[in-house]
Amino acid sequence: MKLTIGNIRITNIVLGEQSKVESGTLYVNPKELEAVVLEDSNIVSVKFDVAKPGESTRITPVKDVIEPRTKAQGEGGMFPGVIAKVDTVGSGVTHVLKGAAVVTVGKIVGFQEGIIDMTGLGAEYTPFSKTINLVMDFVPRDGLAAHDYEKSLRLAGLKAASWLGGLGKNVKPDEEIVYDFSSVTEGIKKYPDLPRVGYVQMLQSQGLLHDTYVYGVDMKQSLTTMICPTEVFDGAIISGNCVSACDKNTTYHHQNNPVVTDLFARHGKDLNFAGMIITNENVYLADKERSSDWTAKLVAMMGFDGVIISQEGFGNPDTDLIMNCKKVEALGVDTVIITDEYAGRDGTSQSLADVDVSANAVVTGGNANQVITLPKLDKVIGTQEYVDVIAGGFENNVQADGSIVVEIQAIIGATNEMGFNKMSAR
Amino acid sequence: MLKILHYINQFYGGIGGEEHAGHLPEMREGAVGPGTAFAAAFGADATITHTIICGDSYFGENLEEAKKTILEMVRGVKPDLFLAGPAFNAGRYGVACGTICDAVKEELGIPVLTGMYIENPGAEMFVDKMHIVSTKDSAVGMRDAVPKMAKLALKLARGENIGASIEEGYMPGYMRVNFFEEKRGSERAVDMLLAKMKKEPFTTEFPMPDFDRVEALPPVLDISKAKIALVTSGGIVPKGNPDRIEASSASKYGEYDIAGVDDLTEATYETAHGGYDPTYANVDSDRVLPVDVLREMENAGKIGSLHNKFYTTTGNGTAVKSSAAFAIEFAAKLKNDGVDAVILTST
Amino acid sequence: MIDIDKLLTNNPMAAERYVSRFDINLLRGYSVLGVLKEVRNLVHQGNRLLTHPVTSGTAPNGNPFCSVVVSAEAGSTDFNSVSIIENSIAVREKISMNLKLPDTAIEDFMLIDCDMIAKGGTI
Repeated sequence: MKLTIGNIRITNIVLGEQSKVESGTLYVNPKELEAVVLEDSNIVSVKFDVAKPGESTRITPVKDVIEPRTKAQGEGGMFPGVIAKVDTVGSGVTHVLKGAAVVTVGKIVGFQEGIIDMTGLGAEYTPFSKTINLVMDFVPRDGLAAHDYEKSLRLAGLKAASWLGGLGKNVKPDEEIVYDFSSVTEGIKKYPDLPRVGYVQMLQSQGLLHDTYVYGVDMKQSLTTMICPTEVFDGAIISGNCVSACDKNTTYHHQNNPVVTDLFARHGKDLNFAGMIITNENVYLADKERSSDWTAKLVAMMGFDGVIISQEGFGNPDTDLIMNCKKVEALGVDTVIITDEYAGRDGTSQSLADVDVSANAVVTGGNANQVITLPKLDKVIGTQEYVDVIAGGFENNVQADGSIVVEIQAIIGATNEMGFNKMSAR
Repeated sequence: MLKILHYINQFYGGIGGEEHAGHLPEMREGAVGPGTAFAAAFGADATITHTIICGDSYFGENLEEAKKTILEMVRGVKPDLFLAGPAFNAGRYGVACGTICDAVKEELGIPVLTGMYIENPGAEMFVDKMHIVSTKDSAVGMRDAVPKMAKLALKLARGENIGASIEEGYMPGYMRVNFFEEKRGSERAVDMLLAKMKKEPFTTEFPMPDFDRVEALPPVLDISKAKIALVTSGGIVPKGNPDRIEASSASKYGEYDIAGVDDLTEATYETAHGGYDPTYANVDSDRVLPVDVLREMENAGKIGSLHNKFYTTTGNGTAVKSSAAFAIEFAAKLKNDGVDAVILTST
Repeated sequence: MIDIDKLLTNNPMAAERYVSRFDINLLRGYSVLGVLKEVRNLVHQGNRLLTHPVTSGTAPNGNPFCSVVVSAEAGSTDFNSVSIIENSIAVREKISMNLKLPDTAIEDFMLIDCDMIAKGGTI
């Protein structure tokens, strides 16, 4: 499958009269966008805000971050099975409003963290301090149950990103990147001497605030399966996660999957990117056994020489990670795993909930327990109420000058386990 | 100016080699031996006010006494940092540096720093307890070690944030510290995988703890015919601890005959272990090494026989490498003596 | 008669929600560590762990509620279960739970804990 990504560089977002993309500026008429997201009767109202890099702005609690994209040519549409029809995506031409992001904000549960600071120390830890963010803060219907609230917010963000992306459908992209994924036989013919490399992506699937959907299917109820790597660029995988701010994969992370991108970058040169497996992280032990067995089985069936395994979340998913790694290594297939750590504030505790010597090649996104002080910022989008109470895990974390002491686990994407960031730990 | 107290052994203290390894701890004013190189590296930022010199054998054989004496000296000086070594690949010196640094840090709350070669047994024992700068395996590495150690020593003495091990040059394993790499994680993962597949060297960013799990052997077929031996890391020894097995960080194990012994009594046995409250083990050592029960089983024909020797050491603080070496030795003896199965008791 | 699996929990919401699905042992007022130790007792008696006892991703101090499902039948000791529960206790012992939780969060923590064991891949 061949997919062309056309990046339209966005350098500004302006709320105004006519919705359009022109000379790098995304103009949004709030009334029009409001009409799109208020189709859902569970949402009473929405407030729009724009947060730009360098501004003294804090966004919290963040539910999801989504990149506006649209299918410019070819089959299917963004977020298949959820927003667009279930038609297979991953081919044709996709336009991306590069540099812009939709950020949804909403307190679904009372202990929700998820901070994006647009300036100061906190900004160094989140990739979304570098994007121009259209923030949508929703007011839900009174008495809306947490499950329905989560779903409404999830869908509203996707609808908005899809609608905004549509504004770039007929705009000429500034840059085009072609991702060409070969079938098994084509790949072997084309690159007979290159190692066949696969990617195993683990997806959170543990219940409310921990779920991931693929073509609209709740991953918790799926067997481990395969996906064409180009499909993720069209929103085939979306996030239903709201907690584990630092190491949940937002929809934006899936749309820009860094492992997929970097494997494509070496495809045909150092390696043959031969396939992608997606598997879940369930709570039931039988599921963990079954899913990791299937991961290893698919790796064997595909004849991969090496795989990269990425994780999502922490705690019992460490067990899934180690099971996947052990079972794949047992086949004689080389693995590299990507994880993050909870080594305590002083960095001296055992970092992972599960370990095994077969995991001898590890990339880490860093220690999520590292404590930093976020300065008082002029503007807060959303509410800081819960950050004050709980983010970082200790009381009285708000200082007299309004600065907040938090562990970086409260910051969106800080220790991403798909290797999105440059941070590491030793 | 920061005050630094430096610990070195008899060799680096200019007293002499192995023949002077029994040298008692002494404290001198100012820098001695490698201390002069450190003093030069510290410049105007810090000064080595005192140097403690102690023989390696003395330290190893009189652990508690040596620790007590040296802690008293350190308490009197109240330095901003306690510096030890570097010990390079000298095993007893490395263990002494680690042991005394650990005591100073835990008991006096003074920052500590030492340096040694990665394969020094002291590194394995103390790598998760303190900053240990990684050095070459011999004194040839002094020139590399001093600037690295001096830089980190000043940071520690000032209570500054310490960077990641890879940035500061200490051994990974003590403290995980975040830092920013040149490449993002996914790209590092691709590079690492390509190296691993090509069998080229690569460095994992998180070394997995290796618990050295041992596969269980098939069960003993007929326990009523088996010759059973007792082995313990609980430190049970004949009263008086005739072989002077250390209370912690044991350097040896004991082999004791229990032919004809039916019960370990307060008058005959005790524990040498320093890591748990010894009261109950001293009153009745069978609680740790169940000779009494096994004799009963032997008499009742439930087991074939109880082997007439037991092997013992103290497990606390004892390096895995030392324990493995002890076991390789006495396992061969057990095998030679026709023992079928061993009961290992810990504490 | 098919024995139904056991649920050990300190979460009253879970005890109520799963009343017809599990044989429930509500350990009201227990800490998470307390619940895990009760689970360990059963594991030592031969019950198998069916769910993983370490919660996932509720930063920063973990969820103060904990629900674990173990098998109805008790056979010979399942060493995999022993190793998982011991490891889980070790992980939990690292987490200090001295944080006072806002009332608004309590019910939400209960809900999240409930949901963890709601559904697996097997119907």
